[in-house]
Amino acid sequence: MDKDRDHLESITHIRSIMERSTTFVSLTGLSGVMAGLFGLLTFVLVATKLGSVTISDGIINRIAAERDIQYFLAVIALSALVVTLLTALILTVRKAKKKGEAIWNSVSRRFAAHMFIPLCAGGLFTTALVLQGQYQLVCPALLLFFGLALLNAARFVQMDMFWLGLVEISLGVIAAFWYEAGLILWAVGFGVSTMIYGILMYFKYER
Amino acid sequence: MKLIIDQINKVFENKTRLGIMSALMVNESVDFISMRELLGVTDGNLSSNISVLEHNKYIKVKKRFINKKTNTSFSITKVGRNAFQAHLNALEELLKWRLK
Repeated sequence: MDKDRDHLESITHIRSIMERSTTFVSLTGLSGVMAGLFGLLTFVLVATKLGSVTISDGIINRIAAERDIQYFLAVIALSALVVTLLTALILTVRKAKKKGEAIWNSVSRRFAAHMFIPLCAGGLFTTALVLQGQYQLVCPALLLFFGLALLNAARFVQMDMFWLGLVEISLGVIAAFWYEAGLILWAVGFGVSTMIYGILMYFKYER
Repeated sequence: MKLIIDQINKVFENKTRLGIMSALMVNESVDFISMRELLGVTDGNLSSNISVLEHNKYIKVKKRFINKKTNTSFSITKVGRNAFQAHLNALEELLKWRLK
């Protein structure tokens, strides 16, 4: 009988090691919540500056014509990116310390590579769109690349991230065809969805 | 029954060695420090169990120098993968048989 318990324990141990050695557990849902908040804040600032939540041809012409708006959008976009990444990093380091886990291990390295390679590609692609005046494609491109990055990195965290990725990709595709709603869809993707995902993850895995 | 017991690999009847093999089954390679943290064992415990597995040709040990520091990493061999799979099958069979 004791032998049986040993064997059962072996199986539990094997499973736990396999899971822990392939998932990055220090990522917290709170990062998602904060990213969502910054996303919504960005949306409010941009919509206020443009004086509209829909991207009409008039708005696109205004962005193309006014240097002031271009700089404002660039600064807002970069600040949102930096603040979001910094917050996520701080929260992750804090959680790793609390759990006594190494922040920079082989899993987190692979997670980072799978997440940031598509994200950087998306950033550069979006920059090219801006430089070529394709403003109506900026929101869809950001959504699509963000979704692909999530999809790609999900297997190092949990499959829930895969579903968030699919949501972002769907929003990106819709935004590509219906660019007038791009900004709103961006707010749904980067703000609302990300925040809901963060809250769900927090209650599912961290409470 | 005798046959199943024969398949239970004595080498894997140790928590650290079982852990090392489990990690290497699902990761291409794992370095010494990551492995030590993953399993929560001491340097000495890890080293001695690594030696046992290496001696059995179940794993490969690769030593490299990164910034003048040694970096040791482990990976599973074909022999190791087959042996571990056989061990898992035996565990499964054994539990199935006991539940009958």
